[in-house]
Amino acid sequence: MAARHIRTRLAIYLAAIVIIIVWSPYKQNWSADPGVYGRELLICLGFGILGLTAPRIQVTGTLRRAMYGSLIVADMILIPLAYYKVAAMIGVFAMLPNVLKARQKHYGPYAILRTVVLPVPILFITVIASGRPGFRQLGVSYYVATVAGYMGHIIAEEKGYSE
Amino acid sequence: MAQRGLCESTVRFRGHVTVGIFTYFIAVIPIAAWILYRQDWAVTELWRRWWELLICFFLCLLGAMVPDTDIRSKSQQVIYSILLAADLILILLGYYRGAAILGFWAIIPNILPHRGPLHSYLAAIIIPAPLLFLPVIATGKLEYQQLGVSYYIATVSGYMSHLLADIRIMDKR
Repeated sequence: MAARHIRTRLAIYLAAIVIIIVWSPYKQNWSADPGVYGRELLICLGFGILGLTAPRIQVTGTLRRAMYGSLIVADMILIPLAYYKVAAMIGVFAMLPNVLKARQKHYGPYAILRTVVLPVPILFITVIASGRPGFRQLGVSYYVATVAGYMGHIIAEEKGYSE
Repeated sequence: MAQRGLCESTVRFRGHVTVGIFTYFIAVIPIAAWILYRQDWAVTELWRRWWELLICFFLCLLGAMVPDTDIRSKSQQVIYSILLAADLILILLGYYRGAAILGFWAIIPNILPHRGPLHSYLAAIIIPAPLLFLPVIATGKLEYQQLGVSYYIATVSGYMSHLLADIRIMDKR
């Protein structure tokens, strides 16, 4: 049972890595600047960690405080720099877990479906931030990283429940 | 264990709301006095501002819930549902700056310990303070009669009722 879960998680992470590696150069018309590429990968890693830890944000603890602390820091940087749209989106995302009931919305039989649906707004963060609509402007790599992290967490939790 | 926590949370929520309702019947005296003074009315004319008294009632209840936004509770769900709705309305209307600032302030209770800074008399006085200036901003008239004193009194009363009820519970324990 455990081996099957590990294999599933590995397959998800590998698929996500492939999509992320391909999407970034595609977004830049296959002329990837190494600096931009590296930055993209770092941001994707951040989104992956966000997805991996997001379900735990509903449970009181150090991780919850750390996540909200990082969101406050992000807001404190974005608001003075006048990135109001992104800061407003962060505010909405930060409020959502407080409205949902713990371990009822993030976990359960439809959890995998939710891992795909809930992070959808991340797709549009880059479109909103740049103000330029277009397919290449979509935050596909960020979305995929978040979904992979989130799915990994849910699969690991389901294993925990089944044992 | 989780079920017990949920039951305790619901009992706590109901208790604070009940105390908030009773508190309003005391707070309504200074609230009515302010309305009559501001409008320069006789007591019999108070019913003409029934909607303001109703808003004050709900603000008193919300004030009684605010201190528990630093813990997973029914109060937290109610307050954050209202804040989320307000934030989404601001975003839809294109007030991104306001939405960003509201979102920023809404995140803060999540990093505070329960019965920490939010459970203090100083917080009870400071947190509802923006309500004093909301009518001034909304009307654009810089007059002291425009201050939201009634809203402020209602919210502070509700907030204080929560703190006093918590002290009473702590004493019993």
